[in-house]
Amino acid sequence: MSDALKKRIKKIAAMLLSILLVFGMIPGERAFSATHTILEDLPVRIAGKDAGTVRTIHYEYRNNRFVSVRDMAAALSGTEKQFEVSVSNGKIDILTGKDYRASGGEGTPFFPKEEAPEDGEGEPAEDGTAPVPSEEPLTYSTEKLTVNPVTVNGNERRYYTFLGRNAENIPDAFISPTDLAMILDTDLSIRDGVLFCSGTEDLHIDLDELRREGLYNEISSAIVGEAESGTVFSAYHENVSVPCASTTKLMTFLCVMDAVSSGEIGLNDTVTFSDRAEALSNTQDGVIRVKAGQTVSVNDLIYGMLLPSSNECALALAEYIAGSEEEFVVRMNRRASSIGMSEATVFLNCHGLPMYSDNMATSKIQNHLSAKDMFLLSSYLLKTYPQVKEYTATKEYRSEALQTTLTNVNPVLYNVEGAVGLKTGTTKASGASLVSACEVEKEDGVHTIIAVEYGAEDGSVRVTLSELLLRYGIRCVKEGKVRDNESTAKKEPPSDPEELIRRLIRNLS
Amino acid sequence: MNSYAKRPGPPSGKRKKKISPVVIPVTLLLLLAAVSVFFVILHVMGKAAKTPAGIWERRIPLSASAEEKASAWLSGAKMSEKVTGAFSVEYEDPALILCFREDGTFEQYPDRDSYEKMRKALYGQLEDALRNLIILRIGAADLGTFSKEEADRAFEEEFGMGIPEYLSEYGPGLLPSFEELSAEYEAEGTWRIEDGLLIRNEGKGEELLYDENMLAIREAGKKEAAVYVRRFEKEN
Repeated sequence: MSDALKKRIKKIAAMLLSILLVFGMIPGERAFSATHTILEDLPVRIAGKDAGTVRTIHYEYRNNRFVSVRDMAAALSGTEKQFEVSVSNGKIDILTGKDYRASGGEGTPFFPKEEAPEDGEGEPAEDGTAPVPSEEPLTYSTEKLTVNPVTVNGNERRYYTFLGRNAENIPDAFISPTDLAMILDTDLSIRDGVLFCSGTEDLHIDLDELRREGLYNEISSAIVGEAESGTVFSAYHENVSVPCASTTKLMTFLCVMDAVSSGEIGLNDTVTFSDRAEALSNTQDGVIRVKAGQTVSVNDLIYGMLLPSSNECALALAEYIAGSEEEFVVRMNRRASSIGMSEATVFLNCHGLPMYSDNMATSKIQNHLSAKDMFLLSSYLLKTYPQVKEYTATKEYRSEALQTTLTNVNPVLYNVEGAVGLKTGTTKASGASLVSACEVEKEDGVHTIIAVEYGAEDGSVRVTLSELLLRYGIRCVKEGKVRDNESTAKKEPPSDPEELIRRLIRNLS
Repeated sequence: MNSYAKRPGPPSGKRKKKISPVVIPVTLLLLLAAVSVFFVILHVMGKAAKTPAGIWERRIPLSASAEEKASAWLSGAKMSEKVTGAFSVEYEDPALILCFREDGTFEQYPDRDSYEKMRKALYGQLEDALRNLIILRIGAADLGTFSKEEADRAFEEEFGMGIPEYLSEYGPGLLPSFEELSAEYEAEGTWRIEDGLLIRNEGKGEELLYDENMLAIREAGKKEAAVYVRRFEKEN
């Protein structure tokens, strides 16, 4: 090949490479991989007046609604609960209190009236959702449901949303009306296929009413209360023993801190990962890749265990303190009993992963406890080792020893002001679970609300329900529904002997 | 004069004794009196054995169910099986007093002293059992070995009252109150015996068997008799 030809080929290749690079930098169309078939033009009434319709997706099931944020912004424009929203590059920015500047396409229904089906041909359903056309059902595509970055007044939040485009091809997002109500602190309700909003009233969470309407139906158990006094504001199946997944790590943390406070170990101690920890990190349950022989401090292991919920970090801590995980688990169960957790609590390992029983007809077994027991454990932890908040309230931590930035996976940290933790948990059996806590300041001091939820079907339900519980707890504290620990508790000891003894032991611990 | 002077004695030969004519009737009278007294005594004694007049008592069976309730209450707590076996009958059930008066009236009532004695002993047992259980549980929770005094102190510090007071206010109801017992058992009215049956307040006749020390009454229609023992001397 002649030199000239070689030069030409190089030139063409360089040009092609440049073109590829240039095109690679241009943001292309994001993949719309979620196709929705249950669509609705939800009528909206604001302050008693018709305010058009809001495009609404029913995600997988009827009534599992997600509403267009642009349509809602347009509907609430001019009211006290107005908000500005922009959706671009996969990010949603909301500014509350600001009027919305229309971009185009807001309020355009899925089913324009002139295109309504003829009589006898796919009649619209009474609730306004999509009719069933005889041949071609209307579909609407968005990106998959996921936690897209949402900022509210400049603060990062975590909500599950669909990203899509509206009728004018303007980027739009769909969000759960409950999440939007919490963001805007406004009363949104849906009755008889109509969305109502006063445009002025704050969000008022009535858990009793929501419970009657089936709020808890899809979860296993829940409880919300105040840690300092032990007052429970609402509970559901709170004594039922349920798989607790990685919320186990709160007990692991308690036992680690016991060892630190007794001088057994130090936060700056160097721990070496074992072969077992390496093997665990290489499985599908591994969170951080580690190598046997790799060293890391106890402090970093705690961050690893509590932020991204690293199972290998939990195992390393257990082995370091007790010599083996099995011995550490004995400590966990003994500690559970000492603080008054009930027989509903059984720990089999230090991280909460499922395991198999050691017998002929083996079965999958997991750590178990009740929501009430977890409320007790969390209250005790916050009282005995308040430094737990330093870990669980941290959103990101850089660990040089682990060679990674650890990110907190607790969504409530982002969504609720004053949130301080505590721990997520996810297995097939436990569902998407969450133990969350937030601090409320009042004239008489700081009140810590703890909300525990087990068994939600997915992360979307987990974060919405947990936030509802916390906000309800905040409301109860602000309304003074906290039991006076000094007088009432002492004057009314439990008449049940087990409760009596557990309370005595709890306070002796 | 000789001290041994003899008085003129009877003439030699036997002299026939003369019995006074009043001796026999007097002797007969005395004998009759004695026999009468005897019969009177016999009558009186016999009369005492033939009526149930007097003060009788029996026990109201409360302890068995009370101990069952105490065990059931404690069994809600872990490790309670280690202390409930210590319950034992070291006290008597409260007494029910039945008084049949000679004037044909009767009265029945529970005895407060024996009721209070039993209540104190029963709750004392429960108090010991609860205290021992607390000590056991504290030990099992690795919080150390507590003495009874230390356990009492910890209890009072936490709940603002001692174990006896707690059981009295918040503990299980092991016994009916004395007022409830009185309402159930108190009775009074008239009594008489007719054709071997005890008739109280002119009601249905009750089978009656008794002797000096025991009395058994079986109410009409009931299978078992209530058995009493004599409590005091008969009341006049």
